[in-house]
Amino acid sequence: MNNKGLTLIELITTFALSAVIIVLLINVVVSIRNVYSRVSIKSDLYITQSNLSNILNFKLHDDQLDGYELCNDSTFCYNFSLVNGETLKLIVEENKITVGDQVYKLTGKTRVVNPTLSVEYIELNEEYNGNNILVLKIPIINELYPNIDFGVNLVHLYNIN
Amino acid sequence: MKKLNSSGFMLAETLIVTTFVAGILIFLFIQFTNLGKAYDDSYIYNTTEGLYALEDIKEYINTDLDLLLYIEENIETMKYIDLTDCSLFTNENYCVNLFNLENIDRIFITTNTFDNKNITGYNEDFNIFIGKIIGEGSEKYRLVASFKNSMFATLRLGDSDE
Repeated sequence: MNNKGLTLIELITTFALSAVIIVLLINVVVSIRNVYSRVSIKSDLYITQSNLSNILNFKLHDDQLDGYELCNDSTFCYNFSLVNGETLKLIVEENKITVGDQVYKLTGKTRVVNPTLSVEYIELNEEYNGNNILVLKIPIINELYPNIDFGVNLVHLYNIN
Repeated sequence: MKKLNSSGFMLAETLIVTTFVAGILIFLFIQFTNLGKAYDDSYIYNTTEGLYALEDIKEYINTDLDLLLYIEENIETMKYIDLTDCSLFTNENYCVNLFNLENIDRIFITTNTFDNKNITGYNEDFNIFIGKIIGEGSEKYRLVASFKNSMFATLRLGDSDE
């Protein structure tokens, strides 16, 4: 009798084990791809946050804010006037933020939620040069990370005339 | 007499191989767990928002000469000076408002070299962050803060010794 070859049971067992391993491997690959895309989105959002914070802090702190005014009533839009005579225009829409000549588009499931700008008057001693705190909050939320704010929280002390 | 079939593995060989493979898998699992922890920590330590908040506070502290004098006189004897309750600030009202707007939970100032990290009185996560701070740079002092959104940040301040 020729004993070379495989029996039916060996074949069936091999195929069954191979199928289980292939299914597990596919799950692993899909999981890795999902993790990669989520991490990529998170990193991009943190870079956007960093860039927005940099430019707003640079302009309002270093160039010194002199005043601000609303541009129109329909969108969240402010013109910040600086001590050096320049003006910085900030427009915040649900999917786009424009700071001066820089535009940040929010793609996919990322959007701005209820941006606010407020000024609080704080009583200070006379020696300190400033009596108002301007608070600019631009919360940016992504549906994949609902508990993380990728936006800007700017706090600035300045005098208003 | 029937010939003994010597193909196949003995129990001892099977156990040795199983133990060896299990050991490697456990090692890899621990490594990936540590990697995941470090990845998570990178998003809560020294965030952009936290660093800019400390910049604002640093800017404010640098204008409060009485506070700077107090720090200079007492920082060597005290391991750290807690600033959270704002009682050391000249403008306590502004300090309270500023800390509230910046979402500060706890904040203290210490020496930049930060040799002694046995600082107690804060929660476990904050203590873990404190333990990971590397004292570098030539500035005199260091601000360390925890925020209400469970993030942490540290920033150097003071004149450079160079």
